[in-house]
Amino acid sequence: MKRMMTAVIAATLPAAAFAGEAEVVTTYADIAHAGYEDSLIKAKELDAAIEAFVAAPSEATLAAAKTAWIESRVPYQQTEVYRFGNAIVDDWEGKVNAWPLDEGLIDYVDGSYGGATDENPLAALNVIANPTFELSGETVDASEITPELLADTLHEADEVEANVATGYHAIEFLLWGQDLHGTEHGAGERPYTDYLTGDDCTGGNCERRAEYLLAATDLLVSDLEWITEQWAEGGAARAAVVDDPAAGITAMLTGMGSLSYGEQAGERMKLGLMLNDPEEEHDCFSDNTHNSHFYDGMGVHNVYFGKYTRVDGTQVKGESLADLLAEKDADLAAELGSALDKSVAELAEIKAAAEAGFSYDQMLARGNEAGEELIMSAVDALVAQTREIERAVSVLTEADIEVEGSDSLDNPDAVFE
Amino acid sequence: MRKLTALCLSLSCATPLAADPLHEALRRAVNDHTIPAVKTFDAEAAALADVAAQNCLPEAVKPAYHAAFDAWMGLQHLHMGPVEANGRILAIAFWPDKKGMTPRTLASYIADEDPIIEDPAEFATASIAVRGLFALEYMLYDAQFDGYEDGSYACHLVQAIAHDLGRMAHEIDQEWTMPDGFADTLLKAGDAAQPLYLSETESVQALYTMLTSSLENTKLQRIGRPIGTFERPRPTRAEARRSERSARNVMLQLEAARDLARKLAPGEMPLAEAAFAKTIALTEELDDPAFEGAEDPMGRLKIEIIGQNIDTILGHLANEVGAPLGVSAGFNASDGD
Repeated sequence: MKRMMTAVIAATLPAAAFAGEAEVVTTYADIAHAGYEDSLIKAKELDAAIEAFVAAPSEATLAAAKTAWIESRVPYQQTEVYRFGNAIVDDWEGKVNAWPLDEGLIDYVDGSYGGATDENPLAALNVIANPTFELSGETVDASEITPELLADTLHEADEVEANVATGYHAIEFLLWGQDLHGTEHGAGERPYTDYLTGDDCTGGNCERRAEYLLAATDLLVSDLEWITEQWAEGGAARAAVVDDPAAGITAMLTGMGSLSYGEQAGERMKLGLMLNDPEEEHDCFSDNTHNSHFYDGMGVHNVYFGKYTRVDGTQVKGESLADLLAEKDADLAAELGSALDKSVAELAEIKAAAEAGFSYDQMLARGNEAGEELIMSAVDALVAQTREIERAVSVLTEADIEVEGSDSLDNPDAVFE
Repeated sequence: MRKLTALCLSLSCATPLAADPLHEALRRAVNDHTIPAVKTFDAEAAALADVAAQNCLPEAVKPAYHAAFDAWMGLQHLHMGPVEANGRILAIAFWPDKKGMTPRTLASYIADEDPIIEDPAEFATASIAVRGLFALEYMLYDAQFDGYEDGSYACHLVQAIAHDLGRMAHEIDQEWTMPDGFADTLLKAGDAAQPLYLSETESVQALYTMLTSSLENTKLQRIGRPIGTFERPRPTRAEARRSERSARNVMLQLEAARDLARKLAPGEMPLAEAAFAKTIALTEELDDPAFEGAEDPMGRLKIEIIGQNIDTILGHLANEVGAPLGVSAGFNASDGD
């Protein structure tokens, strides 16, 4: 999994004061606030659906909870572009969107999953089945599964990033279960009976499973409340960009470029394709990966064009990076805009094929040329847009761009104690 | 592609003067650094394929594996053009393998006797977990795999991996050095047949990004992964530890970066030279080829110090190479790791 790196653009020269810079970063902060607030709204709906499901498990209530989860991903994925470049977001996001995960940490898994690995001794811990367990030589009391247990003890336990105990993907696993279809069509098929009490319970420990699911969803809501506040008037994340518009512009470009290239095109799309590994799907339990990729691309598009469509259909818009760049270099502004349009169109092709029944895991199958073509076309478009973003950096920042990992910059202890 | 008119506003689009330091830096870096790198890797990977075809057994293949890996360390920092195309860099060197895909996938191919190894064109589409130097390392060095016999499936798998490496290395060489190949893409920049970099400044910036991001990767991955944290060092995460190449790879990467820096530098780079020399010397003196010493606090500290010295190198490169050329690092493929 990845606790992702932030790219940081260190301005070594004072940036020229552009007309409109302040308005542009205000639009950026407004979109961030709206995106996180929408994520919070949808997470509360998810929480309500999960409470209803756990109170009365059935095919229908499970389906409603899954629908709420899928919807909750739409606004959240559009905020991923804020991760890189904004230290406050990057330091926080591992709690809500860490991926990939060793799901055996959380619950039962199929025999083919294997056990503890060189990388992760806790890969098959199964906390739902184990009220106590050993962690780094100490006994942990997990008799009650609370948000605190998940966040403070289990998440990234033993300093292993694949120990993802919280966030969207932990909830996804608890709703869908493992996807055992490999590169065939089909998502996880966890039965609703995994949450029934008494003799009807399947998978064992149903009450603890429900406790876990509720705790994880509560945490998601509270974590999203926190980040929404950071982007509200007076919040620290907003202040970091609006108080220093030049830094805000570099944060915008850094987020766009780092998400496009290293993260989305490379780690999430190309690597999974080349491994032919459906577990490398971003939303691997639910087979929602086509959407998570598409909305990541939309998020980059939103930031550049200064426009975001909220979950209630209203729009947040204002003076944009595109406007600012057009003042300095109209040709480049148009080229970057077309490059972003192209990426969104390529990602939409993946989404369209997936929604028509050719799921993302099928695209990853060895020798599936149509799938490879779809994915690589999107990868190529994302790489191409990154070059245009680099050009925009040199026009708009008149500064050194230095891209480094957040693990070294924000948390030196992660690398060097 | 943008219209060239827009670019020609920049100085670098003017007719290059003989004394144009950026132009000269680009020529030196491409002709004297990148081309020898792709040629050497091509030759060593071809030799590896030949050796494995003659005798697939580990003791016969190991010297050629090391020579090919050495050559790869002279090229792997150039994560661009033909090295990046078709995901070759991932297929040649899939590491880190955080989920243990390599041994798991190799074991499943061997158990199933997957016929994909019979056809090189098919094998080129196999999972990167069974291709490249790290899959080969498991086959040659790991007790789970290295007991195979001549003529067995595993023997043919080793031959297929070696052949596939030779194929990719040759394709990289050809695509880099042919007329209107990637070397020309860099050298001709906006005037290239199919421009990727619109000015010589962009070409130089791309090379400079490779220089700095490769050093950062060495610090974060090759060194950062095995040392973990003080409380929880992770020596089994060292790169290529089975073939005891962990320290050697750091040293060769530093040497490759130093060579690229020398070619790019418009003048002397005394502070960067001193920092490179010190860091390389520290790596040589380590006497811990697989970074097993990371387990113990003193050993771990020695490895950690190499990483800290890489930071020093990066600072001097910015001042002695990047700034005089007027370039700084752009986005790189490791953003997001």
